[in-house]
Amino acid sequence: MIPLEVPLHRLLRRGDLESLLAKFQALLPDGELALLGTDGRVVVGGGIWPEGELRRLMAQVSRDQCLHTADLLLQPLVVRSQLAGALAVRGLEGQRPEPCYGEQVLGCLQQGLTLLLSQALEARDLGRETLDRYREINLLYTIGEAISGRLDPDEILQLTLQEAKRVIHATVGMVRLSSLQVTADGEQEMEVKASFGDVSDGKVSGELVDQVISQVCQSGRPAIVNKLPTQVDDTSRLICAPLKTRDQVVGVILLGRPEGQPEFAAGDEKLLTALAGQAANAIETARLHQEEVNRQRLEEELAIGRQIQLSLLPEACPVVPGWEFAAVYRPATQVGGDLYDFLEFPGDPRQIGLVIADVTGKGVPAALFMALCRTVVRVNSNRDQGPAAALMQANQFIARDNRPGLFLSAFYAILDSETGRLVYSSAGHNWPLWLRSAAGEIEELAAHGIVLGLFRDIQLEERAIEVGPGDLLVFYTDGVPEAMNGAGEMFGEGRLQAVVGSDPEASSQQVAQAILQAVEAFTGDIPPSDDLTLFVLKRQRS
Amino acid sequence: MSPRVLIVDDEAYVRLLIEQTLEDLEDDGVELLAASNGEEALELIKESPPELVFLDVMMPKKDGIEVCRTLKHELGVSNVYIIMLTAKGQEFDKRSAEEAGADEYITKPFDPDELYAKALEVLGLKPVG
Repeated sequence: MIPLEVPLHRLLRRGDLESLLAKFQALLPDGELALLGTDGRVVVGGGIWPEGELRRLMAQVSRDQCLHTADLLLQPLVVRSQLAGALAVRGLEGQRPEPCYGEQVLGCLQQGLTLLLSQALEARDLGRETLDRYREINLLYTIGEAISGRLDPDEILQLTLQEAKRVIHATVGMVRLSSLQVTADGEQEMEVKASFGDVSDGKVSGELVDQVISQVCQSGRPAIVNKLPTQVDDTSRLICAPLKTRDQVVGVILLGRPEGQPEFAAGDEKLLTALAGQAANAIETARLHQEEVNRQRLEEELAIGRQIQLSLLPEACPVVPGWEFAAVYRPATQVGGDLYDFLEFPGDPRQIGLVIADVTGKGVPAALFMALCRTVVRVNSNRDQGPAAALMQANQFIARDNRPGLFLSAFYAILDSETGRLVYSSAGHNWPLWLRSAAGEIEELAAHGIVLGLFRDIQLEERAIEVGPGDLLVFYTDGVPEAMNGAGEMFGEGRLQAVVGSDPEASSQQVAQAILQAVEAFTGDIPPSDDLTLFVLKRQRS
Repeated sequence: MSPRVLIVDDEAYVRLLIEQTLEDLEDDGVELLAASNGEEALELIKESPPELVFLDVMMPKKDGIEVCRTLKHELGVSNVYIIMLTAKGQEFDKRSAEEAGADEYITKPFDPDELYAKALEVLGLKPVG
């Protein structure tokens, strides 16, 4: 007969048993009573008992039936069809006990004890279940407290694994998290983020383990494998639960035991799943926090970059008799690297330097590079040399210790405000437009040359024109022609020229605004990805 | 005489929990007793003092601190180790518990393993396995 798993002394209090037995003992003056455990040991009972014989008799109990010997009677106690123990009666002075006591008294005690035992067993089951739930809550509480506020995913996983090891005993364990890498089969690769025990090859890896992990990832449900075919001492029992955020499995937590240890049970699965859920949520929170931090950092960087950039642009257009200037600068959502500048030459006030440039890159690095370039161009322009020589000289400085990937396109012109003569040079920049009032035509101020900062020695072309009365010049950066609409189409040089040529009598301010409006009408709600910078100058007719 | 542990809590499930937690001790002959209020606890202790008492602080009629004070100061029972059980977040005056004669306290929700280990330590028993 299968013995009850729980020993008697765990189900009923010794004190209660002693007093119960004492009461019945009073009804049996010619014998002694004892309560035996399933192994035949005396749990409660006075006097000296032949323990060897009791053990032997106990082993013979097969049904709910009395066993007799010459001076002993054994009445088994059966609860839930399992043997919980037995009542033993011993006749005094070697007498056969039964006739003296009568089966009724004994039967009564047996029934009473059986009832008490089954009630105690039920209470115990309830208690076990409550304790399991309690452990679960306590675990979640502990892990919640341990990982809340932690923002390092690796630390969260390490803590989770530690806690899992503590409550679900295992010899090996690891957490694998989806990485951004995708394997050749198109599956997302998983990285081991935390581990304990020997998780080297062959221990908790290999095809079968991968299959279990893959199944857990796909189903989003935990799994237990208690018989993994392995070498002796290797992990043969496996429990795996998904790290799930909302409906997405981001990883798994895996524990293992060798064959000699107990199998993983449903309760372990429940605990591990709860733990994994907590960890996944904490990781998700950490990720969201990181995103927010990054966003804030970007925003700060943007603000700094913007500040630098704005501080470098001229506060106002120059006031030159016979000429009108207008400028438009519309920053992109990200800080770009557009720059324009008007230079004065103290020795020759009739001359005005006109610079427009566009540095590569975005954000603070672009803004800083732009500041450097502006200074270098200024320093080199303030000499008695033409625009091409000034730009080539500036290039020497910029290219000398420039970081790779940073360079700029620039257009530099020197205007004699009295004669209208404009000498210019382009370093890979968009050619400005020249609206010739007399002919009613638009020309580009073409000049060949490559961008500054890439090579130490470059050659730039220098050209000159005469700007006549009523003529208009438009300097701009690529933000104008490359402005894009929702269909991915660019504004283009054609549209720009059409706006510039649409009204030869318009003031420079009107033209600048017309270009901006045309670009904005074209792009609609699409946020500008690049700065839009332009300035316009017009020679008055009289 | 076998060592005795008394569990005092007005919540039946907490008593059940602690009994289950300490169940293994019964194999070492430890007897587990339970009381559902302070007065019942005092009666049991007066009758025969246990070695260890887990005593809930918040109980109707006579709270844990009062029970403790009565025991240690009025009845002069000194050889009982008293562990107070306090709920997390509950206002618990450590000093008055100490003054009343409590030996230490454990916060609920308690860690079952910690509770078991504590009982072993107080009773001078060795952990199994």
